[in-house]
Amino acid sequence: MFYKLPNTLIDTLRNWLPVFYSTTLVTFSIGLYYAIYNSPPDYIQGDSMRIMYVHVPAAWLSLGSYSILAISCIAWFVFRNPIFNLFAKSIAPIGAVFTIIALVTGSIWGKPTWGTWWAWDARLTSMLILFFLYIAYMMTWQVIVNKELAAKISAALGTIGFINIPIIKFSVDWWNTLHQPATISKLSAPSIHISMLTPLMLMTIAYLFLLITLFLIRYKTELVEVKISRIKH
Amino acid sequence: MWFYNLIVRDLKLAFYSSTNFLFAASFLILILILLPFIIDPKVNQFIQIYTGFIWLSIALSILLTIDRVFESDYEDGNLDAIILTQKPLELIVCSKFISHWIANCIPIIVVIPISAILFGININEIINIILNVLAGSTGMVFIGSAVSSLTLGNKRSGIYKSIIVIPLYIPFIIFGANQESVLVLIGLSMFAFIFSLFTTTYSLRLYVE
Amino acid sequence: MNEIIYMNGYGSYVWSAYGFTIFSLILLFYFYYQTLVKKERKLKDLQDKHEQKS
Repeated sequence: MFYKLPNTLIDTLRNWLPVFYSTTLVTFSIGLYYAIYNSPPDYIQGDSMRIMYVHVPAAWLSLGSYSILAISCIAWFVFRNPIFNLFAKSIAPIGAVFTIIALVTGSIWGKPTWGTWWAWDARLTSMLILFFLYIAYMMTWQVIVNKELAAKISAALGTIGFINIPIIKFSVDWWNTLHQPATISKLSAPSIHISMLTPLMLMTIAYLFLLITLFLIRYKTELVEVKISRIKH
Repeated sequence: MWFYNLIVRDLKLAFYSSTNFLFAASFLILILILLPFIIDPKVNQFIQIYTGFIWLSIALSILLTIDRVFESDYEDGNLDAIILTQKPLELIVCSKFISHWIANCIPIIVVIPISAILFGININEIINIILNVLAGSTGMVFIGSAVSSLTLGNKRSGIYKSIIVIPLYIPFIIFGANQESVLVLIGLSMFAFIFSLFTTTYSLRLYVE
Repeated sequence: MNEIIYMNGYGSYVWSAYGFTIFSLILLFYFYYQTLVKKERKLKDLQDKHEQKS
């Protein structure tokens, strides 16, 4: 009853995967060519702002994949369809890796720009918390052995994290106004020039294709695992 | 009446168990004993470090004791018996929250003024800290109990629980340890109450079927 | 070519950021692909056994 999934879905994915592999490779190489070679250096930050092209898409997509995770958790509460659980379960590790990339490249970027590796402002802190929310979500499937129960608990957990993120951002913001002046405001460029927007958009599209590819691989793996457990019983 | 009886029963159990009323208070005192070795109490802004230590030890003592809220009752089957009485589950959960808060946070609040005198902190600041703790610790207990109900009957979930709980405690720590913002803490606690009530009833229904 | 590597003094930062990103993404992809191949093989084995039984 719980594991009644259409087999045709696996076959469809098998046909579509090579297309996504090649698209990801092509967009990544075009994006990297623009990001490293064919774009001007920033007139304040110099060449160090090229890190933006790998940092910003990762940060956007890590937030985006958490939204997808939370929306699938909420959708599971509404429709009670196990497919939404598999969605959330497959996207969680990818989002966690994107969060790590955003955190690491962000601190590498911060060193030449602000002079420190890390600052406890709202954006950075909520990214760090986001990483732990992903970890908590993934650990649920490990800690709770009963898979049916883990599905129900993890759906609740994803929703809790979704509500928690804006609260943490708000309170850290409030804490910041109390303790330190906004040192990081110079980062928010007023308007981004078209010659920098092109590589940024290209890299975002490349990351997006990579996210979809990895998600499809993971989703397929989960479906195969479901089939294995169905045969075993 | 049954609501009152349930609270009294839980308090009696807490009193006779191995981690009883003394646990939270002595935990706070033990942590505060370490404080003068870390920093000289005569230093400027000592009050901030002191409040920070108090909030830390409250968070840790709640983390260490949240297992007690539902776990022991779940193990010996009393939780099923209580739920089978057909009383509203929300009220049962409320009584659990209240009894756990009394058993854990009242001793801490009693100990705070004594320790504050030892560190030479003036009376206005003591009152401020106590009001903050009264407002904030309730919400922290609610959240802790809700998270502990998510992993009933699981022995290996210690780190897992703290990974979930500590991010949820960040707003409480920020507003509790930094400024006199009792109203914000009360708001946060009310929000936490509504939220943990839903979560706890949801997961108790899953586990006890 | 030298200019690209040097990046006006920011080369170490830029290249370490790019290197970390690409390395971790490739590692993730490789790991996922490997898991998928392994699981599919296992499924096939199981299906073959199942057919032999029935």
